[in-house]
Order: sequence, then structure tokens, then C-alpha cells
Amino acid sequence: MSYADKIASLARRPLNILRLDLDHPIDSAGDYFCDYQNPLGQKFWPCIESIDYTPAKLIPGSLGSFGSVTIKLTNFPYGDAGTFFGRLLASNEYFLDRALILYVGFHDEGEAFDWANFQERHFVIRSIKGPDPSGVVTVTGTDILTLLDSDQSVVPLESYGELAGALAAATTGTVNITDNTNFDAGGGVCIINGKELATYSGLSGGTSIVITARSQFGTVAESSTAAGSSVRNCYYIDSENCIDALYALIDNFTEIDAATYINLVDWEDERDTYLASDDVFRVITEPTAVKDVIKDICESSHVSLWWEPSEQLIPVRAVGPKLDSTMEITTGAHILRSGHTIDRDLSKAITQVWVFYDKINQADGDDEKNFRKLNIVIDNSKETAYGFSKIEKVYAGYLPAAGGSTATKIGQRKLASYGLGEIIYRFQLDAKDSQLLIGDNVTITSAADEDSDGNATSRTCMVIERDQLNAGTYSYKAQALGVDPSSNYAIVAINGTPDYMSGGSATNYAFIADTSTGQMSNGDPAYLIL
Amino acid sequence: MAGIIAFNNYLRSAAVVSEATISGFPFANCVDGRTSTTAGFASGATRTAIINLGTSKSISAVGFARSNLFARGATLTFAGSADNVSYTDFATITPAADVVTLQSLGAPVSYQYVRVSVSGHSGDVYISDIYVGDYLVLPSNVDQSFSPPEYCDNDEVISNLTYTNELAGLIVQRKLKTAQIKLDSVEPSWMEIHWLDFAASVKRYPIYWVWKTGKRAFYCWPEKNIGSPKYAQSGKYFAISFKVEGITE
Repeated sequence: MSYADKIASLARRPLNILRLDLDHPIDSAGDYFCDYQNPLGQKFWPCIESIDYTPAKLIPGSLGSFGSVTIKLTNFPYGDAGTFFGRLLASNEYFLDRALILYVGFHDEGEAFDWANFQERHFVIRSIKGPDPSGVVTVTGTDILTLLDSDQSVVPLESYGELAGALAAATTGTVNITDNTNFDAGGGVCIINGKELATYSGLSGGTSIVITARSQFGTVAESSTAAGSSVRNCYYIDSENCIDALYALIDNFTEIDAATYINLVDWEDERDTYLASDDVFRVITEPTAVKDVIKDICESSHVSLWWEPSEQLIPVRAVGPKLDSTMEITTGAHILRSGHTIDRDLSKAITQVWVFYDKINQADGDDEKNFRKLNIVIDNSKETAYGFSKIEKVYAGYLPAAGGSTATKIGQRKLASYGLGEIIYRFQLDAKDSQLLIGDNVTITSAADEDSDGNATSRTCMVIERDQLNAGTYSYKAQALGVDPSSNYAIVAINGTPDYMSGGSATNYAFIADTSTGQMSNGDPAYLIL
Repeated sequence: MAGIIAFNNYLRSAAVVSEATISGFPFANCVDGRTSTTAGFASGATRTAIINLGTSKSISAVGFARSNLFARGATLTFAGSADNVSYTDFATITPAADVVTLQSLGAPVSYQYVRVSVSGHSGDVYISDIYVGDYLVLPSNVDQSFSPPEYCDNDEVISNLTYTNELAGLIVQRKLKTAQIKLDSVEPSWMEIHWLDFAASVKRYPIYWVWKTGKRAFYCWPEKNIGSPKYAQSGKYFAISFKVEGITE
């Protein structure tokens, strides 16, 4: 059996198992705890009283919010004296950010225990409280994305350069900055006196950098910069694909093990299929929380990045229609009776999107006046219907001068999603349908969402939240994307692709439909190009 | 015949002389009272544990709780010795199901050393509790409204119904079995001899309770408290009543 087999079964007996990866466990093989009955032959302490999740959330076109878990356990006597958790905590004072692993699955009494019947959920320990007077110990963990927080990860790393002598405006070459720690031996960008950006090609000794150009990226050098003025290293993203930039930040500036928690093949596939021309450009002039940088890159590219607990991965996804097949769920076969609502918030409707991009001065902030370009996309039909304009402004501080197509795409996608305000579906699914994950597109046909003829409406949504209520039930939140579920979406076919009716033509490619019928030669609907 | 209870497990306060158990699953796990810990006996050969009771003790019952003896095709054999040299088998159980078992001996035997052997098993055997001790005949029959614990099923079933009332899934959450030990007409003489020992023991470790001859044993403990026995019938008899929870498998 496997976890997939178990959830496909009609009746299942749930079991949750917790492992705390502390430095000094009581049992050298690791300390395991469970709820319900400990399976025969396993060394789990059945002292878990409750497990409460705060689900991770996907924010479309941004960095998602962290999820967390709170587990209550009951202490018990152990050994010749004392209690289990009393002794465990005394031996493990440094538990912050140690791994907390939950195994969520099923076990029937009498069957052989099998780890394949469980899914792993990884968290990091943030706090352990108790035992309280009732003997309850409360362990709180947050998901891996918490390691993006400012106290954990910043970019660029702090540097401490100061001019050893006054620096004239045109001076380049080797410059003594007294301490070049955390400057890049391969060269980069630095900020002088908090105002002027300059490029450098490398280091000289432990005190100097080799400046190659002054007054860069929209800044102007002072006629003379006084000795003692700060010189700090910057982080320079030079028109790099947004996906590559995100990966480099996580891999190089956080404690997240990118090789373990990022499926690079999936990331590159997403990049090549949907984001091939979506580059970012920025000079980050002071140590900034990696979390904030990632958030800004996501918002400049209309990309979502979040933590997926059931797969233990950090996925990334462009917001919009997808080429792969979309799961379809209905109120008849999938959506449970409990908790199904559809919320429409017209106060969040948008009829125009203004995207500011191409920063003038990289050393200044993302103020409207510090952008050279503005891209405006208007939905005239919505403006007419509402009778007024509702404008959303996006300050895409990471979009370069050549980011016009990205800016247009951001506008179009936001208008599609929010033209009718924010539409949120809440629903619950049995575990048999729980393969629907955060970030997935799903087409929902709900009897609670009728058209003007009283028929159930189908909408394509993106799952933005997924919470496990119990072992057999999942609660979802999904946001309508404004994507027509009946439309065919495709990308432009590569040169040399056979004609539409030839066997083997990739169905993800767009072909030109008959102009009179609007259909392909065999009656298939025409394609919309992504 | 009325039921029996066994609450005086000699193995609990005894010293383990030797054991052939799986590392991490020592014999001590099957006398600690917990249903969550198990002693493990590896497959491939007869595995034994020898326990020194300290002095010769009169043994009238053996048993076990929560095991996979039947699933593994195992036989559990109890043997006794006065000197830890020459052993005599006094009980052999080849379970017909993995259920809590308490077996009374035809006639009591007395030994200082007890050898517990697991044999004939294909695959590792795990046992949560092993009982070697005496038993008490309950002083009266259970109440007429009694619900046998082996028939009790408190498992919680949660059904997932779709928006249109189609069954999508069931979640079954295991709960302990419960029963009420309710005895009327208990002789004061029985109370004087046994009650205080029983009350002290049942609060420390679970007991084995067979509510009627031939019925399945219940490995159980008080659900909250054991309360106070009450005089009845003009002081001629006591009435005992308290709830217990536990397992029958």
C-alpha cells in the first residue's frame, strides 16, 4: 500500500507521527510521538493531544505567507525519576530552527506498519512551551520559508568599507576602502557615501577595490567624497530571468537547502514555458531581507512563490492560464457539503492597471517619479459597466527598460482576475481528491454559483490555501483567475512544427484557426496565445 | 461462574535474569503497564526471557495483551523452576486470534523462576503486556444491563458527504472500549480480604478482567476513579460500580 492507495480507500484510520530532530534525543534512534495507538513494533510515544495547522498561503503574483503548526503533547513519567519532556528539554536548550517533521497518514490495526502510507511535512521549531501544570507541552513550528526572514537572511551581506582618503568625482582604479570584507572578488557594484553607484572589477589585498566606472545606474558622483565616507557592496541583478534570480537568492543567501527544497527542473520548465522573456534588473544598495527582495521580484514578474507542505517543496508559478490539464471538481462528485461558500468582493475590482517600470536612480526608492516608463492597460467594457475607473498601480522596481511585454502581461492578468472584483471559492474535499495542491489551477463547477439561467457555472481558479482539517478532509480557498475554462491556451509553435492535423504535433502549440469559422479544420476550438 | 480479575502481576516487580529480545524492545516494556511499549522477539528461533520472582510464588493465571502472536503463528510458553536450572512447562498458548488473553491454570503452581518463550513465529513478535500471577473470582455476577466490553465499539466515524449528499469518504478514529464493572451482592468478607489491595493495584497498573468464563479478557483501567463501595440490603452486601476503559485486542 501507499499513501495514495490509502486516501483512495473509502474508510481509513488516521495516524499522525511527530519527530523532533533535537541535538540530544532521549532515544538514539530519534524521539517519535503519535496520536491514537502506537503501531506494534514501533517506538512512538502516543502522547500527541492535538495538531493545529495555520496553512501556508499563496498570494497570487507575490511571495506567500508562512504556514505553521502547533502540537500539544502530554508529558509522562520516564525512567527512574522525572518526566520525558522534562529530561528532553533539559538536554536540548538550543532547539530553535531544528527540524520538526510530521508524518501524516493512515494505519489499520493488525496491518504491518509502513512508512509509505505517510506523507512528510517539514517545519522548523520556533518554540517549545511547558510542561504546564497540566503536563501539556506545546511545540510550534513554522515552514521552511521562515528562513527567509530578515534575522536569518539578508542580501547583500553587510560590508564595512570606508574611504581611506578623499575621492574625486572622476577617480577610478584601485581605491583604498580600509576593509573589503564581503565585496566580490569577481567584481560588482558598490555604493559610495549612500548616494553614488559605481562598478568595480575586483579586489586588491584586504583593503581595496578596483573601481571601473563612476556615476552608474542613474546616480551622480559628488565632486569630492570625503575620507571616511562609507563604501558598501551592493547586490547587482543584471537583466537576469526572474526565475534564475529567485533561485540564486535562495541558494546563496538563505539557510534553505535549495537542492532539497526546490525542484530545479520544474522551476526551469516554468521559466522556459511561461516566463522566458521575463527578466529583472536591480541594484540592491543595502542589506535587505531576502524575503522582501523575493516579494518584490515576484510582484514585478507576476509570479507566485510559496511553500507546498505535502510535497516539501518551494514551487514557483506564473499567474494565469496553464497548458497542462486542469483538475475539474463539482459539487456532485467532489465538493463536500460543509464549508462551501463563494465570496465576491467588488471593492477589489480593477478596471485599469498602471505598471511603473525602468527605475531612473537605482539608489533611490520606488517612488512614482523615479520611473522612466509607465504601461497602462484598460478594460473599457468594465469601465463602462461600472461607470467609473478603478486603478491599481504597480511599482515594478525590478522590471528593466525592456520589460514592456511583462508590464503588459501584468496588467492583462490582473484585469482578468479582478475585473469582477475578488472572487473566492471556499470548499472542502475528501482526501481522495487531495492531490489538488496550492498553486494548482482548478475548474470548479458549483451548484452554488449559478448563471442567469440557473445553471451551475464553471470557473477556473487558482488554489491559494489548503488546510488539513483531519486526516481525511482538506479545506481549500481558491481565487478566480478570469480564465475561460472552455478556451484552449497555447504557446506559439516553434519553427518547423508539422501542421495541425499531422500526428504528433504538440497540443500546447497554437495554430491559426479558420477566419470564417473561428475553428481548426476539424472543428476544434481556436487557440488563445499565452 | 462469575468473572475473574487478575491484577497481581508478579513479573512487574521481578528481576530479568536474561532475555533474547530485539534491541530497543526489552522485556521491561511488557511489564511496564503501557500499551504503547512492547517487548520484541525476533523471528528465526525460539526466544526466551527468564525472570526471578525473588521467592517462590503461587501462580494461577497467565496472559498477554496487545500482540501479534497469532499474526506471526507464534506459541507462547511459560515454564517454571526453583533453581533456574531445571524448568517445567506449566502453560502453553497458541493464540487463535490477536486478542487480550487471560488463561487460568487448572491448579496453581509455585516457582521462583519463570521462563517465557516465544516460538514457531515467522516474523518478529511484539507483545505489550505479559501476565504471570494469580486471579480473583469476582464475588457476584455482573448486572443484567451489562454491556460486554468485547462488543463495545466507540470508534468515531466521520463521513465526508458531497454538496449533493454523495458519500466521498469515511474517517474512522479509534477510541478505547469502555465498560462498567458493576457488582451487587458482594460479601463483606470478600471486601475485607481483597478490596484495598485491588483498589491500590488498579490505580497503578491495568488489570485483566474476564467478565464471564469463556469470554474475551479486557485489559483495562479506571476511566476516572473507582469510587466507593456502598452498603446495600440492610448492610448485608456491598455494591461496587466503576467505569473502565481499555482494549480487547
